[in-house]
Amino acid sequence: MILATYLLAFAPALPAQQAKSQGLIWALQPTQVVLPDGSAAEGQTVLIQDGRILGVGTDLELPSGARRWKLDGVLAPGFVDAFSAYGTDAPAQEDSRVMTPMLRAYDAVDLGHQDWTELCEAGITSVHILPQPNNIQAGWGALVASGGEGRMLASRTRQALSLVLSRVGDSAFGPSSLAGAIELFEVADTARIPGVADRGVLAHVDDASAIRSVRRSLGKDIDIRWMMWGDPASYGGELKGEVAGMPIPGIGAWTPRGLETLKRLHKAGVKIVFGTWSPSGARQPGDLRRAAATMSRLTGDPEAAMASITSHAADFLGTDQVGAIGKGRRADLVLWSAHPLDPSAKIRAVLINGIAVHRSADSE
Amino acid sequence: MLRTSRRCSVSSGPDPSNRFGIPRSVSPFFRHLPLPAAALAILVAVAGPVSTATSQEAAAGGYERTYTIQADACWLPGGRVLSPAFVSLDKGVIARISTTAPPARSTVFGTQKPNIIKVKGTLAPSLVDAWSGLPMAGRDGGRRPLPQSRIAEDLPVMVPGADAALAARVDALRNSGVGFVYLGRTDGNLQRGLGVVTGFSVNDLPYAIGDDWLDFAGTGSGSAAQIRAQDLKTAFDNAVALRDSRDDYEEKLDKYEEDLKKYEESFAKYLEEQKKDGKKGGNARAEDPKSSGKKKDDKRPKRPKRPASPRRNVAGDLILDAIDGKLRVRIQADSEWVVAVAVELVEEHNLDLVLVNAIGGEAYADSLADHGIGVVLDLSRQLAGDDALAEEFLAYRKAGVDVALGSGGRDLGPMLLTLAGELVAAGVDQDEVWRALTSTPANLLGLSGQAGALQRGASGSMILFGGAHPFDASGVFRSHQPK
Repeated sequence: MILATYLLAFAPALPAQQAKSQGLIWALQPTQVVLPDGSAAEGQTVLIQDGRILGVGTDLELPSGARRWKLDGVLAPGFVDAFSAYGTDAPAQEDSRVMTPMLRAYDAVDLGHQDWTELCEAGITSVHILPQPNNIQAGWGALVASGGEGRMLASRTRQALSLVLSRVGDSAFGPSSLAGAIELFEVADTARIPGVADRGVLAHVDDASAIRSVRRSLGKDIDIRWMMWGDPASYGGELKGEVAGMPIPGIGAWTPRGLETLKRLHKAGVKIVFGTWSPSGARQPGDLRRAAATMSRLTGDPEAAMASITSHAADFLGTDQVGAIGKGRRADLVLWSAHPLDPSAKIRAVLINGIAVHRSADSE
Repeated sequence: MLRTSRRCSVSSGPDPSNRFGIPRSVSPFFRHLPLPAAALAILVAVAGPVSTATSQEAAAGGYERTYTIQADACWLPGGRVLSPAFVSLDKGVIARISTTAPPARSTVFGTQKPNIIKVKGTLAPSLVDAWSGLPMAGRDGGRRPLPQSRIAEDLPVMVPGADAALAARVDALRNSGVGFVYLGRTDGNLQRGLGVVTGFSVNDLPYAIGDDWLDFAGTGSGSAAQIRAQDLKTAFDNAVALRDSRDDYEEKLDKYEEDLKKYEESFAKYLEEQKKDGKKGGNARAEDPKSSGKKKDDKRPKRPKRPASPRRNVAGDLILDAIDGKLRVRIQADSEWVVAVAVELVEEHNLDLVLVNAIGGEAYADSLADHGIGVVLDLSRQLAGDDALAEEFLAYRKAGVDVALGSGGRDLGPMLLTLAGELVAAGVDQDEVWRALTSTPANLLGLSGQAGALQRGASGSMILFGGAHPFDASGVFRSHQPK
């Protein structure tokens, strides 16, 4: 009943009438709030104004005029799909050249695509679209908010690099070996690409020598995040303490080696991040939450598992605006019937930028 | 909803706010009893006879140690919750479940305190995967699987390192909470051979429990499914015909024996008559018109022909064993055609049958329930975006069919519980889903009392969870493997 009241109150605040809610402060008081450490805490209040979170805590003073809403459920940050091809009809790629640093994945995005609704209904509120890792300098990633229609949040996230020979190699024109690819990469001087110094890079790798080359070439001043391909068991130790993405295994692909690798990477301090894109085909939007739940069960670390699709994923793409319920962040929130890592939990409502864009039929 | 027991310390069910299974208080009834009496009463309430078979299975697993696990709570059969829980294991088997610690033992060396391992969370039985993805293909040396090939014969010997790759897979399965699996072949032959239920040894190797199962693959879709269903029916019809032909043979053989006797008598008479007629010798061969070149003697009796023996048919014999109740049967029914034939076969031959997959079988749910045919559904279908599983589950349960959940012959690993939890989100009762992963498959596979429930005499393979229930991955999850 309380939830329904809240949703009905929010329903008029959908984009067409958004202006009316500007300046209003909403004080959301759900049963529990998923904190940045992944745990669910009771008695929390989340203050929202103009699509931003003003504060979170148990002893917040409600500003005068704030509207208080008690919510039945667990309020969690929207999931971040850290590397995705959703919302595009054709992959962002340019195969005619080895280096395409100015390519923007955003140019391949269709903001009217039906994928945005599907992603939203799976609790995914932020989607990082990456150019295909087919070029050594592959171009810029893009961050899009899901919902009824996509909304661009950043048209240039990180510069994607690729030293995955199976993707950048070309037996006719080269490079035909990893050594050749590394040489081309080091000559290219990625650090001088406008925007790289501020936004950092995202390096696709499948080999330890590629990791060392990227580090050597970019130095310590450039922010680097990693995308692991191939067999991370053979080189993952190089990424100790760093944020690295890995594809979600497909059906029947949770091999003992894969499971053990995930466990050991986590134990070594690699901050693992999941995304729905995979060379063998896109995963279902629901697979993102499944991967996190699986990681939690496997590692016994629900905090890291939750971060793999929220805060660490946001860090992976280079933003602190999404991925957690914290002061100053976007109010991209999902109200669940239980903790989002509980697969029996159902979505009751999704807020993007503080506006309810989706609510489940049974929430009324 | 979990039931409240009248006799022991239980709660009315998992408290959603109690995410880490904080110990619940002992029931008021027991608080009024003297402590030893209450402890005894609780022990009596949860104890049952230890089956000899289980002890034998434990011995097969190679478990040796005796110890007690103290947890915040444990889930007992019938939806009861015991809190706090002391689960004592002896050689891999649960020897005692109580709210109190086991007493110290007196030995010649003095008093020996029980070895107690304290853990935080709730204990529950490990999962029984009635349709495992543990790969057994190729373990027969690459030979083409024959209808009589037995998985039990292909299992590795119970020594460490006997099969490191298989042990790694078993270890991954156990860490995912699985304690028992059904192992069968996954090839496309109609008669796949003989599968078997296995537990896992102390060396992470599967060991067979119980008898073989006759495995059929009712795979395919469209017209291929119709053909496969007809082939299945024909296989059983042929087996019956085989038996009939053998019965005829027996009759013919009896008649042949009689005829032979009569022939010997009449031939003796014939020889006597030949002697009386003054012909020389009593040798039948000498009198043979063929050898002597003389005209055929019409009075000579004819020797009866021995009836031809029926051909040997191993596959048919196995089906006949199933018809005679000596083998239980599993049929993978990927279409309603196969489900229909399976029901027909049970009606005709009274088979002890479990249906796997049972696609489109909801239309036959009442018949399945009437004949006690259990169904194993494939959880991996949800990974492919198939959201009809929950509806099928509910339809079968509504009709009273026993439903188990399995990996669909795939390696789902730790996703098994996650996918099962999604069925709850899709509207299936949480307790129903839990039973479909534990007690129901245990019953369907003939493991009652050994697996699928925490009770005295059952396997000590357990899971420990810290969330609201085992599906909840927001809390701690571990599997306990007996030592």
